[in-house]
Amino acid sequence: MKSALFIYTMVVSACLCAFSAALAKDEPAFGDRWSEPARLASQDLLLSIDGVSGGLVVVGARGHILFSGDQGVAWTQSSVPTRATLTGVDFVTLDIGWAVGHDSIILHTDDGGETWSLQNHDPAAETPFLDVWFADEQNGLAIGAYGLMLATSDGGENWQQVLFAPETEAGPADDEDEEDEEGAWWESESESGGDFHLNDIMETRDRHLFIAAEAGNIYRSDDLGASWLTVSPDYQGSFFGVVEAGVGRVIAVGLRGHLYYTDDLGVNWVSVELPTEATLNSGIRLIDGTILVTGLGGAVLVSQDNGESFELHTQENRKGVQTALQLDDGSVMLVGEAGIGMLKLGVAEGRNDD
Amino acid sequence: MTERGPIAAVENFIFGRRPLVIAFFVIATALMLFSAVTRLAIDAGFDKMVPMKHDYMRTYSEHRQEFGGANRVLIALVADEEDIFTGTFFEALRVATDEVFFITGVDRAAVQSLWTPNVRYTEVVEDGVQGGPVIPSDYSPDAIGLAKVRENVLKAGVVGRLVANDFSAAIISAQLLETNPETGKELDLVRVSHDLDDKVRARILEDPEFAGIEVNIIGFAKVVGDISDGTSRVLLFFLVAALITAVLVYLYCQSIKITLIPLFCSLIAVIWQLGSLTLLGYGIDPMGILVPFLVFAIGVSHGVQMISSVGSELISGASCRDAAQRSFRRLLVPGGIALASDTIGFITILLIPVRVIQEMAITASLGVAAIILTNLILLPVLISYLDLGDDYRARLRQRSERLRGNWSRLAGITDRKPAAIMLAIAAILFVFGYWKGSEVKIGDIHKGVPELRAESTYNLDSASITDRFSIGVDIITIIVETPSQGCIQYEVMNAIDEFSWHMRNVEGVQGVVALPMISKIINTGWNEGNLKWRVLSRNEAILVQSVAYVETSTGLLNRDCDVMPVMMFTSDHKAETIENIIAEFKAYVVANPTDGVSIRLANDDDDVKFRLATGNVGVMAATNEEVSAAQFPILMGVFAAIILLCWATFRSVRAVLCIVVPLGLVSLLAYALMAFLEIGLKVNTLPVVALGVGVGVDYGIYIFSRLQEYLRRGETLHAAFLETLSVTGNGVVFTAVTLGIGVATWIFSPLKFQADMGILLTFMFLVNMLGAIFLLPAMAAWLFPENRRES
Repeated sequence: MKSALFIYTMVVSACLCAFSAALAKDEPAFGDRWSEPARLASQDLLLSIDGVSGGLVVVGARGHILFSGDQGVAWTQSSVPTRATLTGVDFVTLDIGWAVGHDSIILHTDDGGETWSLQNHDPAAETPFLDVWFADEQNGLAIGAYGLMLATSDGGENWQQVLFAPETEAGPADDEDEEDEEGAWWESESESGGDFHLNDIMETRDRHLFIAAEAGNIYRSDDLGASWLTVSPDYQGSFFGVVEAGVGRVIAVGLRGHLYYTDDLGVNWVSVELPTEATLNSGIRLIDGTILVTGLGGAVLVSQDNGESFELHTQENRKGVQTALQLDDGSVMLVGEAGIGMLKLGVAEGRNDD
Repeated sequence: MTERGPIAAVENFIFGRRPLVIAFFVIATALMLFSAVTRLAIDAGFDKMVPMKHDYMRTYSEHRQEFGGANRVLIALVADEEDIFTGTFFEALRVATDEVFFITGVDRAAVQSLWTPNVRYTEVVEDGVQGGPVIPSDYSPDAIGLAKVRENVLKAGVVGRLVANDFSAAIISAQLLETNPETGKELDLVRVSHDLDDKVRARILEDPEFAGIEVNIIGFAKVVGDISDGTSRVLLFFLVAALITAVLVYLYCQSIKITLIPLFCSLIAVIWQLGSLTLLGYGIDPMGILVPFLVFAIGVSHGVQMISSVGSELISGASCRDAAQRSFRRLLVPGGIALASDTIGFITILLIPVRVIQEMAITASLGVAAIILTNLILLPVLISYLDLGDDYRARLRQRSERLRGNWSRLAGITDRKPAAIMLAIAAILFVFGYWKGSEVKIGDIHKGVPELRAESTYNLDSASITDRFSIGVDIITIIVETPSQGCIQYEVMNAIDEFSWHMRNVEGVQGVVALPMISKIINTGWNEGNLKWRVLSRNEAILVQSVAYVETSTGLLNRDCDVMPVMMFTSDHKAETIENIIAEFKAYVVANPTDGVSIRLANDDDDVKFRLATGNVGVMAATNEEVSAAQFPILMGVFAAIILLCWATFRSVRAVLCIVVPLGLVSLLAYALMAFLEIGLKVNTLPVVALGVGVGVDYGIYIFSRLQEYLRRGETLHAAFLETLSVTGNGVVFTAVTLGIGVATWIFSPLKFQADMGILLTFMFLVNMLGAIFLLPAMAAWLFPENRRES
């Protein structure tokens, strides 16, 4: 299955790649700049967190990677062969995961985050990755600025540049045709405006992929990244996060407190009025179905009705919260401007339906 | 009684030409007085207070033109209600902002408060960026208007800076100009400080409408103003101490005439000292103002020795003239030696390369040298003119009889057993002093401005502001010198950023502010506020965009952007904290010499140079290093001088031991006292230790010289010591108590360093006296066993 996802597109796009230098596996010029062990790493800017089978890994500024085997009681800072700011992390098992970031960094671990090896690095390109997603131990995508997308089908041994050129018309997922798709892909390249920043990638339980992107763009893939459709709502501000709510609902969050949801994979979007104008970064769905959206200025929005309405719980430090993760005991860990912290729910400051 | 030898020659020379001697003193004093009155000025320059030749201070002076001008004053209004969002509070803030605006010397364009138009909020919107003043033009002091302001305050990102983190207070920030725009002269910071109190603080506190709102003011100008106000009160303490001394001297010598003579002679020494100050081109600074009193005190101390001696001669029936002449003969050498060791003690303080201290060392030594002339020569000459009747003799005799009982009990200490007990006590004190004294900390121990008391208004204001706002008052600044246009080169900015982060992780550093951080935040702003873009761009054009709006007034870069300070806010200014940070800094610079981008200290023009240090804590770091370097040389110097002089005088190792051991013990105990009272060893207190030793040696020398005189006559130690006590002991005990009481009044000074000096000097005066009358004879009992009384 996985080979079917990538074969042609990867090979073709690799040829078009302007980044061929980036694929060189040599130790890069800055490769000897290992991350610095720092007392306060857990309080520095941290941008992404993932937890699989009880293990937690957080990545962020200056090549900080911290991992914890005890649900965040104690953190250990990994030795990482870069000091670039890392923006995304994704684990497929307790041991195996990837982290991406600025300088087109892709890092890989197979020991739960303790040691990391460099799979991709190209500071000269000046193009950061902004998120990473892996379908399994072999197949994954790294997305980033100006429509940057790299794909691998061998666990990151080789990364190929993908020309990201989504089709503009949204249609039912099952209408997609593999051969047509490839043709449409080429055609749409010039008009697609495909150099938007790809901010966040998310896989739904039904194996649809969504990307939140710059300038009001939402993209969907029904073939695990082989082809993409533009399924944007009618909004010009950027989207920074997508989250799957209950019963097939997908929520997109972005600039200045904008939040939309769709119940039909992006064909129709509903705008939700929020009690904040803070820019929203991402969201998660808790075990009990609660939707949690995090944003700048300490904004945390909580919905108990699958995203129909939200309560605002501004965190006391008013620091930007990039993202959140529910721990095994049900509590919620936040990462962002102030590093790692725990969610505190006080009295709600306002509801959209007040 | 006729004696031969140099002393007799001097004696005959002086007492043979008494009118000439007096004429000399009159003329000299008139000249010095003229010089002092016409040219003496208070001079409290910042440069004088710091070790300007220290490496860190050189960094400071090289860059002060660009960054030294950041002379900021912060005025915080603290709301009495739950938070600042009330109509009354905003009205008070507006009134106060206006008042600050019109203070002479305030850079009006740079005044910032919620009311000033330069404080704006900006927010990212779909089609770019929008903004406006935090308090909109249609502001109304009602719930709606205040809610709008609250929202804008959050958007403007001024929480922690202009608004307290818990919204309990708001700040008006004002930058001061270098010169007074009205006169073109250097800005008078003391006046600015008074204006802040009179126009801003008083305006808010006295208006019944604003009842409950508190005002806190901090800033360098305010510190200067408050220290200066405290300094003028030092004069008051001087007068009180002098008055107490006069009363006590009268009680001691029972004659107004005899009282006036030592006071008068000591005053002449002070006049000479002040006169020489101006002749050398110095002014009086907050520290130096203590020197005249010290000179006065030492003068009185020696004067009392002289009148004690005169008194004992009078009792035995001599005329005033004979009494004066004999006393002169007897005291010229020990007095001269004692004063010479004082002088040397003061001169060793020159080893601290801080100008106020060096000036203090020079003027104090000049003052003490003057005492040799005024109190050892002029004083007996003046006494020789007195004509004191027999009833005065009777009074003295009576007093002497009264005291003799006490002295004879005390003289028992020269017996074997009491002496052994005394030595055992001394040994225990030595151990205790060594143990506790080694805990003395170098530098400042307490929070706040060290010159002022912890409970002074300034330090309370400072604590209130640092509590509420994200503002640190203890700052070390590292100056980073880079190639031209360094702020738009990724390698340079990244090196500074990595350095900043490294230092942020050092224990004791609470926050670091440097250009790269601001640049990263601006870069985030250009990317719709997305935290994932909080980086330094490798692209020069983008980097330019991210620093272009940072003004030089932030103090984070200079105009050519080849000098960028890294400001480190420290948790306190304790010496250990500072040392640790400085050591980490040095280690970092050494460990990252050619690492990726080059961070080198070499003189290579292409390199980024990290240099310590400015900021108040940087100054303290430099000062602490100087103090700790000078500490041992100073004490060594003082003791070496004393040992040498004592040996030259008494030609006996045993004599030297008798005098120096008690002194050493007292110095050690002084360290223990400092550790106990949490007084740090610093520029203000290190001299006291040296001065204290110098003053303390007087007692030992006077007592031992008399003791030796009687011992040579073949008397037993007990008899010799009893005689010594009844002649010199009165003087020694009296002087110590008098000076101790006088100096103890300083403990109530508003200036912390004066209070500290007061405590230490009182201790040194009193305990050195105890050492001289208890430990010295006990030591003599063991060192001169042949003279011990049969028991």
